[in-house]
Amino acid sequence: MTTEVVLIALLLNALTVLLVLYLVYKGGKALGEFEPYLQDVEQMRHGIARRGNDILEKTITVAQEIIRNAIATSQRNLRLSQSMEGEMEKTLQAGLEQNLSEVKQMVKNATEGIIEAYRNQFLAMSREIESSGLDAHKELLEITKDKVDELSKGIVQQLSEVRSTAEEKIGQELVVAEEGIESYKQQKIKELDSQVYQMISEIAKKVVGHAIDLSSHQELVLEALERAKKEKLF
Amino acid sequence: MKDEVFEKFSEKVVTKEDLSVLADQIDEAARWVYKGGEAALSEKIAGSVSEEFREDIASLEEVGKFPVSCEEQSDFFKNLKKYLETLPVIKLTIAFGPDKDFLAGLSSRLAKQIGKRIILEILVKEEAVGGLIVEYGGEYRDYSLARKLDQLMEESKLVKIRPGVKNVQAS
Repeated sequence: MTTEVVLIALLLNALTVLLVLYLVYKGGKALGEFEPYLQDVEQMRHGIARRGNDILEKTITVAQEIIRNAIATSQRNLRLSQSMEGEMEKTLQAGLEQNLSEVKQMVKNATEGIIEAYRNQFLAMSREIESSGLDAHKELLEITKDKVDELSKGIVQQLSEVRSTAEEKIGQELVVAEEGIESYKQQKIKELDSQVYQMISEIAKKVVGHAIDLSSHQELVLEALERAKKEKLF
Repeated sequence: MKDEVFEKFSEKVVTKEDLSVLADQIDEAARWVYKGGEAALSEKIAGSVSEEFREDIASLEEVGKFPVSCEEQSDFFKNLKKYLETLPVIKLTIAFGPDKDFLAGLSSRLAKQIGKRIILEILVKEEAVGGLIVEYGGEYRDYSLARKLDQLMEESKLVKIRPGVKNVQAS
């Protein structure tokens, strides 16, 4: 079985090879039939290429010419514009200076006019104020004088009242103060008296205590016991 | 009989300090009641209490006034302390340090006046100057010279010592 399969496979391979060989043969024959057409096409292609090259060369030449012309024109224009720029700057500068000078003059004239107008107006006003101020001043002086007179009378009267009130108040406070001082004085004297008595008492006790001998102490104790007995303490 | 014995012990107590010392001796003797075997208590306490106290116990043992059994001895000391605590105390403030003889005389005199033995509580204050301050039975009496001097000073304040000064302390 295996052998048969192998033989069948080999047979199929051989058939495939034969088929390929046949196709190669047939392809080469077909190519030979197309050969004259291919040569014509080749010649046409060469012709077209030559014409294309010619056209390209001409085009390049024309383009170069155009570029040169354009560069030359541009250079001329540049030089022209540079010279024009300088002239324009000079013209503009001159114009500006002239305008500035004119404006300055105009401002100066206008300012002087305004100042003159204000000066005249102020002069007129000053005269008016001076005149009315003098009148007012006189009037104020008179009113002030009247007021001062009136106030002076009132002040004198009030001063008199204040003085009498103050005298009365001071008198009252003086009495109170004198009473306070007297009370304080009495209190201090009492305190001093008390301290003096206390000191005298202390001194007396010490003096007496040191003055008593032992037998006197004993007698005093026995006397005290007798007194206690009399008072029925025991 | 016991009261007589207790009174004998109290005769030697004059001041509160004496009482405190005696109480310590009693406590010490009581500690020896159950110690030291069968010997007499006066022998067992020798060296632990004062010789005077030991001799008092010994003399009581000789005349048969001191109990023999341990329980009775313990009761004896308890009752003795109770008796001493019941003795009245009189507080005396004096201005000098008294000697023992003076205090003994004082105690004897007061015992006669009051009718029973008393304990003296002595306070020495020089401020009293002289005399005595007595505190007894809730009463207070000041018989000191300090008080007399204070009274004299108070009386002297009745006199005006400065012209024009009112003496308000006069009463």
